[in-house]
Amino acid sequence: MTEAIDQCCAGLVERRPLVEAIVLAAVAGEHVLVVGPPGTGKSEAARRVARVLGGSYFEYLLSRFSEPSELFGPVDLRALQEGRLETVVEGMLPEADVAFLDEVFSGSTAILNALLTLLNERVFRRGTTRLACPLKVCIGATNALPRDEALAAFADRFLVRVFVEPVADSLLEALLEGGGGEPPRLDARLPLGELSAAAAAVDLAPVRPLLAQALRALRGAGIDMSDRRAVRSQRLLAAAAALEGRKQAGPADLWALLLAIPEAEGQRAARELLTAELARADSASLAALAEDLSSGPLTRARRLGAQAESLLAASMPADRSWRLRVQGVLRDIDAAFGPGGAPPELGAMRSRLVTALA
Amino acid sequence: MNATFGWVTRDAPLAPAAVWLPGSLQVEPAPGLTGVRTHTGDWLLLGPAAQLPWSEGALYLGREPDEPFLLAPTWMRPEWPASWLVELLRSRCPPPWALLPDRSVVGLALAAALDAPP
Repeated sequence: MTEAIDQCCAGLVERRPLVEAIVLAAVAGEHVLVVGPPGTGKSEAARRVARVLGGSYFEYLLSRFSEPSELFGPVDLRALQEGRLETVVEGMLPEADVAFLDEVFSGSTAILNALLTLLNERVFRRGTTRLACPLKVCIGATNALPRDEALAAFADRFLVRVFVEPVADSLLEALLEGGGGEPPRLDARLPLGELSAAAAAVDLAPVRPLLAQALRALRGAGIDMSDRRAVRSQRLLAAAAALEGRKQAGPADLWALLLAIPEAEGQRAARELLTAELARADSASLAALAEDLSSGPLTRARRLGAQAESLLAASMPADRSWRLRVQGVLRDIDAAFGPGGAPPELGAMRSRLVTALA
Repeated sequence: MNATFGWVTRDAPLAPAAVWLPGSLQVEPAPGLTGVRTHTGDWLLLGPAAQLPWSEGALYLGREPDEPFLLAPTWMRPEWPASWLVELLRSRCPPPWALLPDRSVVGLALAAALDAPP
């Protein structure tokens, strides 16, 4: 699992949470809306996740001039001569397991209506064509959330919302370095069928009281969360639990709820509002996303522990750049937890780093 | 500082913007860092997080979100609102200020570049 995600993230700076969100959504059987300016790695992240998920992939940049046939396939002329309206869907969206639709709200009403059914019911309907679609996850991308009521209803079909920003100034060197590298190796595979089945079987009863409490707090604070989103958010919690190999969802999985909050400001506010509820957030397989959403100490400790472990595995005490990286991790641990405040496991890892530097 | 406030663990740590280092440590000049030496002989260095040195015993400080001239421990915050502390400090010395875990305060107005001899 981690290897597949690592491969997807190679050379992509600050896009690990996005990659992990797409994986979570795919396991949950939900769709993702990625909101952010152009050129921020949205499509590359989607392409890479599609590769490790396997199956067929369809990608398209929508505009107001796009024709339905560009997404769903051309009309079958032979059938038309016989008086039937059928669509040739080979290699098109109705056959895709993973789809990426850039500028997703730019499509015409005809396209958006057909998409709505396809996203909702996994069925493509046109004339006499009625096809069950294998679509696992559709990733829509947009520069901004639509304010138009009709489009907002369509946007609501994307349960998972991810907001991306351009890479921070402090990471520009890493961005430039990653951009010139070799194409990533993408030979790891995620067993999506197994994971989705495990997610569907997860027992949500243990987390429901906490989820209800969190939802009440969100609504009380005026954070938009429709009934539909509230109910479907359970699928995200179940997927988070399944990805950790658990059969029951628990407080550790509550962080996934924040992905279902439709606005960036709402997600930020929820993180502050639910600090106590999110304190037990944890995920080994989706550590960056869980940390991003929860700011929880366990997820932070897990990330720092993983960094420490990887440095210790590649121990090169005589190498100056290795020593600087070790000092950087020690700085991050001490800044995050203060002297002696790291959780025991991370504290032990810290001691090993200090010893390695001596 | 003559105040008896307590400390509360932060929900999320601040990004480090300064580090306090005990005086027994050798501080090397580094581009991008400024620093002051306290009356107890310790060092307070300011600079981008990635440039701040690490050493056993180092304490990291970040800018209080609502009072960026006040630097406080990255992992805990004063129980009192930062604005109260700033009001108290303003009458004592010019900003910025570093508030250490023992509640002592270091004025940082005289911090000088460390790529020149300190």
